[in-house]
Amino acid sequence: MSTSLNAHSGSLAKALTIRDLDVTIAGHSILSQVSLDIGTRARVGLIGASGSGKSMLSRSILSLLPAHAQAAGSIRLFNKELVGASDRELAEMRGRTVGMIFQNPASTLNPVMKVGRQIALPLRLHYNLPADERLRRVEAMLNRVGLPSSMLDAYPHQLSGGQQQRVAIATALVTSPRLIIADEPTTALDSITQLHILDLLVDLVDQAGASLLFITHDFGVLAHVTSSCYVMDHGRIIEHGNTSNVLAKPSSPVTRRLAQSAEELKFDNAHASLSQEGDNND
Amino acid sequence: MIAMNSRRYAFRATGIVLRSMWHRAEGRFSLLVLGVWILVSLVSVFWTPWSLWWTDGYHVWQKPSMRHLLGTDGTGADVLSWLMAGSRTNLLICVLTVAVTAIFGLLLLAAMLARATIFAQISVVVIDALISLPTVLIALILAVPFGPSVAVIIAACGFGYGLNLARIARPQALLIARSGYVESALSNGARASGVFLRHIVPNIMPVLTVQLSISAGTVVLAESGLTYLGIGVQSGVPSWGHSLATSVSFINIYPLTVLWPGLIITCIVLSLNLCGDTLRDCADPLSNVQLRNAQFNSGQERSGQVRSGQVSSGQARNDQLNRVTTKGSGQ
Repeated sequence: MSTSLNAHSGSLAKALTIRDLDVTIAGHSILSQVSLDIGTRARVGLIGASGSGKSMLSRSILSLLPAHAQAAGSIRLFNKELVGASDRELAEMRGRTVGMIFQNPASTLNPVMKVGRQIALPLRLHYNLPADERLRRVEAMLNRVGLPSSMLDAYPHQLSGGQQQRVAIATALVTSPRLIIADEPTTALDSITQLHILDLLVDLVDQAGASLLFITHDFGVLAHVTSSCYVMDHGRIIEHGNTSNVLAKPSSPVTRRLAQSAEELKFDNAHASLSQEGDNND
Repeated sequence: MIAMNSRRYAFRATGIVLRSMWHRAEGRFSLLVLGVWILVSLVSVFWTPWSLWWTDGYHVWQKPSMRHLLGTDGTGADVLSWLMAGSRTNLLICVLTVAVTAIFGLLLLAAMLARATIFAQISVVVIDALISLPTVLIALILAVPFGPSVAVIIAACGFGYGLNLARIARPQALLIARSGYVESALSNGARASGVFLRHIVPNIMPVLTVQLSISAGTVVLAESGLTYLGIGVQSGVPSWGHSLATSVSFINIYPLTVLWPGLIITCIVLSLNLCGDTLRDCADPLSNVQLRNAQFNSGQERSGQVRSGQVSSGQARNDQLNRVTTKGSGQ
C-alpha cells in the first residue's frame, strides 16, 4: 500500500519532503524519525491521538518550535532546506509560501485589530502593494470565504466562531501560499459549521492549486478532506497510505484502536439520538 | 482610501470617547480641569494680568484684591500671573515626561520580551533593583553635572516611571506574547518588532493608559518637590513648584500665598488620575459598547450591507468594489 503511494507521488514534484526529522525538547524526544511527503496539489491528512506530536510537526515545518527545542533531519519545502535556515529566510517563507490555519479561531485573531487589517497583514508583510490595491484584494478574499465586505471594519468578538474561522482562513490564503497547513481547524466548531468550513477550505485550496496538510484527530473529517494520510503515535509515523484504505483496513493496532473508538462514538451518538427520538414520540 | 478611512474613524472614535467620558462625573471633572489648564497655558504665552518681572516693594504679601486677584508674593509680584505662567512650564514637563516614560518603558519592555537575550533573563532582577532608587536620588545625581533644570526633572522622572511601566506591563505582555494571535502573526511571517508594535502594544493599552496618567500626575508633584529641594526648575523660571518653594517658608504668616499653588497641584493631580481611569474604560472597544457599535455601523454604512454570513449578490459587490477603487484612486 505504502509503496504504491510512493510510486504514484514520486512522479510528481514535491511540495514538502520531510526526512528523518527528530525534535527534542530538554532531552525529551518529541518527534523521532518522521518522514513525510506532500505532492503539489495533494491533500494529505495527519491523524493521531492528542499528544501524538501532530501539532509539533506542523510547528517544526514553520520553525515555530518552543525556545529550547532542537530539530535535526531535513525539511525541504519546494526544494528549499528549512532546518538550519536563517531567521530572515524563515520569515520570508512563513505566510508567503506556507499559510497556517490554527485550531481555535477565537484566540488566533487579535482582539483589538479590525478584521480587514488582520487579513491585510500577510500582504503588508510580503508584498509592497498600494493601499487601495491591498484593500481590494482583502475585500475580494473576504467575499470568497463567504463574508460581506462590511466585516472589514468589525472586531473579532463581533463575529461568530464560524465567521472567525473564515477570517482566519482568509488571512492564511490571502497571499496565495502554495502549501497550506490546517491544524485541526474545525475542532472548536459545531458539526454544521464544521462541514461548511471544510468544504470552503477544500474548494479554496483546489482553486488556488495549493497543497494541503490537514491535521486532525477525527476520522470522519479526514475522509471528507484528504486522499492520503499519515498516522502518528508517540512522535512517530506509524502508518501511511490512501485514506480510504487506512480507514478500511488499518494495519497498525494504534490506528485500529483510533478507528474503533471513532466507530463506537458514532454508534453511541446514533443510539443517543434514536432514544431521544423515541422519548419525543412517547 | 485606507488612510482616509482610518482618519475618519480616528476622529469619530475620539469624539465618542470624549463624549462617554463627559457623561461620567469624574470624567467631566477631569476634562474640565485639564481643558482649563491647557487654555491658561496658551493664554499665558501672550498675556498675563501683570508682567512677571513687575514687582512693587511697597506692596509685598498683599491679600487678594481687585488689583491683584490672588494677592502678591514676598517680592510684590502678582501671584496669579506667576501661576498662569507656571502652568505652561508644568504642562511642558508633564507632556515630555509622559513621552519619555512611554518610549523608555516600551523599549525596556521590548528588551525584556526578546527571546534568548541575557538581558531578558536577568531583566526582572535588574529592574527591581533600579526601581528601588528614588526619583529624587536620580535627579540629585543628574543635577550634579548638569545643574538644576527642567531637563533634569524630565530625565529623572522619565527614567523612574519608565522602569515602573515596564515592570507593571511585563506579565500581561508575556501572556500576549504566548497568545494564539501572536503565534498566528509569526506564522504569517511577522518579525519580532512588528509583533511588538502591532499586537503586544495595542493589547496592553489599558495598562499603559493608566500608568501614563499616573506618571503625568506624579511628575506634577515631583516637579514641586524637586524645585523645593533646589534641583528642579531654575529660579526665575515660573512653575507651580517655584511659586510654592518661594512662599512655603512663610506659611504660618501668609498661608494664602501657599494655598493657591497647592490647590492647583492637588486639582491637577486628581484630575490626571481620574482622567486615566475613565479613559481606560471609555477607550476600550471591548467594554465601551457605544464605541464598538459606532465603528461597526460606520462599516455598514460604507458598504450598505447588513451583517450576515451570506455573500452579497455579485452586482452589489461589483458596484461596491468599483466605488472603493474609485475612491481609492482619488486619494
